Amino acid sequence: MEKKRVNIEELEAVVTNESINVEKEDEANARNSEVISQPSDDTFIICDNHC
Amino acid sequence: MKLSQFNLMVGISPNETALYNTLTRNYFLLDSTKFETVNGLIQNLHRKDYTEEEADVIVNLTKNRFIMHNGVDEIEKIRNREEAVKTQQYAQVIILKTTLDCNFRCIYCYQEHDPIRMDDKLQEDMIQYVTEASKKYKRISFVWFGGEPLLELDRMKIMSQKLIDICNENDCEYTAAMTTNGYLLNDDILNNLEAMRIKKAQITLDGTAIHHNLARPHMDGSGTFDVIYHNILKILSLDVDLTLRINVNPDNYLEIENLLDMIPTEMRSKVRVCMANWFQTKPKLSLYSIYKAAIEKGYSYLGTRNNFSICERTFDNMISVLPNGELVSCSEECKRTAAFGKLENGAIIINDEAAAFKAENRASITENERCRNCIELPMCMGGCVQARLKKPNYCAKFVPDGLSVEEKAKLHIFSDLRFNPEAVKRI
Repeated sequence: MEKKRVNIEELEAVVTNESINVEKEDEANARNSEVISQPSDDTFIICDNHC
Repeated sequence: MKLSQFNLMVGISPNETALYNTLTRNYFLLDSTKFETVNGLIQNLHRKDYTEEEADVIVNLTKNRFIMHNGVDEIEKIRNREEAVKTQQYAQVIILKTTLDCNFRCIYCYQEHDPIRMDDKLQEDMIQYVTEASKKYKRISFVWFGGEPLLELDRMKIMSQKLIDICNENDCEYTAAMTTNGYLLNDDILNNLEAMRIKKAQITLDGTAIHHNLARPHMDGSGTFDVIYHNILKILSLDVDLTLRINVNPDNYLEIENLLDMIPTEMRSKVRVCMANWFQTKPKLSLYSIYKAAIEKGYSYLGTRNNFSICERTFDNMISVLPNGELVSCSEECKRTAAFGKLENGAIIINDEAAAFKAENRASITENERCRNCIELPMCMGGCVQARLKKPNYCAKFVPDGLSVEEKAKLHIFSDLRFNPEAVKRI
């Protein structure tokens, strides 16, 4: 029996929808997380000069 | 639909390949069958139609940000994150060089051992500054730096207590970190670290004793390895996370694994290994195999996420203060001639250089066409700002660790497989 195939228009619509959901999720995370952009302790130690 | 411009295929083992994204740091491990499917789709995404399995894979890759709709601008995402980091209003970062003096004479050191030390005036100025900052921000991130900061231990103790009290009064979190050569960490200091809220320390060992003692002698010429090594063992018994800095050159390269074997196994998870080539070493050595060995031996690996910042210089809310109260652009900068302002009476007084400094900091790395088109951009963010200003064509590739982007991705995955296996996703 021939397997079902998904045409590109149909798949593009699903991808667009999923991608928009992902965008919204990322934006919500960025808004809700006050700490997302705060300095990390890792920030202060990676320098290619020596201590 | 389109592919992320930050997708990468990396061989992990003879039987597994990873599809890795340098922007999100998401990855999937693929066996050889799945690799054929996924790679086929990546090489030829747009087709007339797809099998159901292919369609499912594409949807899965979309949910995990490897594929997206055509309207997504990934460079804009990077620019937004970069800007958010620069302008964050959560924390004030303060780097204080208590002195430029040092009890070591490291052969590669870029500092000039100026004997200047901070005085009571700067101490009071700093306390005034923190008093105001602690009312405005939710956290004060204080970094003790030098020279060797512990040469001013008594002042560090007094200041720490005052700064902690001020932050408590203003409902502001206070955290502290310290970069020290580790030689002066006696029991008195170790017993005071908790009271001083120093929870993170960076100490350097440049290989086992014979190599370390050549690279990092005491100012009297004697070796320093044994003292530092035993102090490291003591600090690891406390509630302090250690960053073990190891500066590597062709002479000590083969000794690094022996050094890593010297730290007791049960202590290694508290140690984050940070290796770098001597800046004089050209071309840079790849440190991949010793980083991989460090992960296998149980040491923490730092490079598993993007900070969208390079160093303290990234933040608008940062001051780096010399012992005389002058302000410089970053912790690397120690020359008084580089000062662009001064901390005085608790306020920042800036000179004409400051405007140029701020302008340099404001520019987005995404404005650089070469960086914009580079798969490493989200991970390196252009590298050292100082270096870029000195050399307009500067590229942070292989600096300072000699790691390619593929090797960085592999180390991230090896680290997850070793310490965080539930994070490892497979298709």
